[in-house]
Amino acid sequence: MNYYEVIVETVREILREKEEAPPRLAPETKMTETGLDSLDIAGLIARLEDRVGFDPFDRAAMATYPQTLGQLAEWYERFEAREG
Amino acid sequence: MSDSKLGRVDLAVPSAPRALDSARRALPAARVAQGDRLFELPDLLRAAESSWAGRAPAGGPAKLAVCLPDGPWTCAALAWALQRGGALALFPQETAPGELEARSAELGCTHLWRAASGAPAEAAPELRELLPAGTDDSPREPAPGGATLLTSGTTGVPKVVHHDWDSLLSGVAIRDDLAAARWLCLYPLSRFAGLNAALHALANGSLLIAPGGTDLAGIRRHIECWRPTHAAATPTLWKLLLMDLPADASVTGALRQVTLGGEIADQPVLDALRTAFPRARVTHVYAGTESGVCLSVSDGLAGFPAAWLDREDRDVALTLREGELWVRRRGSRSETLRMESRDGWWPTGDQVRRVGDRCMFLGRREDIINVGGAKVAPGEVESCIAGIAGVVSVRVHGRPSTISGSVLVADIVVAPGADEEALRGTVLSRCRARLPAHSVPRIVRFTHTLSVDASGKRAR
Repeated sequence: MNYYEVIVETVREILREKEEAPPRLAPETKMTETGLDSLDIAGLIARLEDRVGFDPFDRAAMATYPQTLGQLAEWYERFEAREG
Repeated sequence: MSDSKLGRVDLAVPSAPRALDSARRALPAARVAQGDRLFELPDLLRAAESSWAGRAPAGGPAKLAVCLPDGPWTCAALAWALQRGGALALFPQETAPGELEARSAELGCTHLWRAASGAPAEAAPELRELLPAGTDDSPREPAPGGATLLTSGTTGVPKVVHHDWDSLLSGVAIRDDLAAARWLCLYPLSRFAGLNAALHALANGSLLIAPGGTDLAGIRRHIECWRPTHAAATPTLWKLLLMDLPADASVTGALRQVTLGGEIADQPVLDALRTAFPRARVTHVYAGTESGVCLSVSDGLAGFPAAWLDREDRDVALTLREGELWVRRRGSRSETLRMESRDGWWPTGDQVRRVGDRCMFLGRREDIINVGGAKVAPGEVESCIAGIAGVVSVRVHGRPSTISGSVLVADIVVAPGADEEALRGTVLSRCRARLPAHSVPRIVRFTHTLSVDASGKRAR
């Protein structure tokens, strides 16, 4: 699965619902520059869980969180194989 | 008896013999309708008592556990108990046999009256003795008369609540003009709301219409066949009924009292009921299994007047403590194993917000959702969404989130033909305009079916 594409699609969906035009979204775009606030991001992760079947934040024991859209996609790739 | 596993509350008011006497005088005229059958209460009582002969003492069971389909035989038990000042424990029909046995024993019930759902209503169910004779020769204290109910709480162990007959009848209107009333009760008779409705019918010697379930087609048939003058149900059940009302205006026109309870009554459902039943008074009632009927609002508006708070002259006094409604019943002595009641005041667990001259219900305290550290009352979000055209019913709940504690989800039942995407936009923009950011749902889902549980409340 191309997690990056699913993530961007879902970010766009949320921005549409907020009636906000999406800024430029690229792998290096920071989460804080996407137009999503922290509660939107919580909603994003919940929607992604419904789409891809798991929540990497549930599986991770990392001290640092993904900063960009690309890093977020990498998290999904890294944690998809593990059982929750 | 040991109540160590059950929180126990006893509520009693100074005896009001007039109400109980009036009820006893009226009982012989009472009737119960189920399906297309009409049962006269004296016939039911005779059949019950004769079926008990040999299995219970002459005056009837010392304490009777009742686990029956909602209908004529539960009413027979109620009538017997009212007449004799007897003691009942009412269990929901769906109670599992093991739990029924255990709780009946804990409550000291001497007999069990049980029938499976679907059992024919014509014959009295079989009475079973619970305590074999001879095992306990010590004189037994007579069980206090009244009805013991279980709370319908969704968390943890249901609490046991006992109300004596005087206390129960204090929440029942007994008037000459109600003798001809026809009461449609859509609550289980083992819940406070159902018991209250059944007592209205019995104590006035009138007709109780008991469909015995939440099957909508069956309810509609009962309405068409028996033409209730008074009807009581949850807001969710009313919303379902409103979607498919009998077309015959003489049927809908017969209703002169529409009552809602068990869930927060939102403004849209109150307005819709006033439109559908123009000759009816619409009342929403706030009551609890422990607290009984606390307030009853008939002014057509959701919530209740703030002027009712902190008044000494009400039978049930109301006050807000840190956003929660507390009640005190005049003259009540409440005993409880846990120190929940201080200075006679009882915490209802319901959150209320005062907005100007009105108090609005926000939902149960235990339903409060933590979103990013902020508290959200789902009832407040629901009432923001409920008024939007196309929304039939909305439930807001928290979905666990690894990011923010909870993510707020709104599950919306849409009217047929509604434009879902446009509706989503309206829901979100209205919430963003009227609510703080953490109270705005981040996920909105649509469905076309509204399902109810056995109590008629929207199913979780």
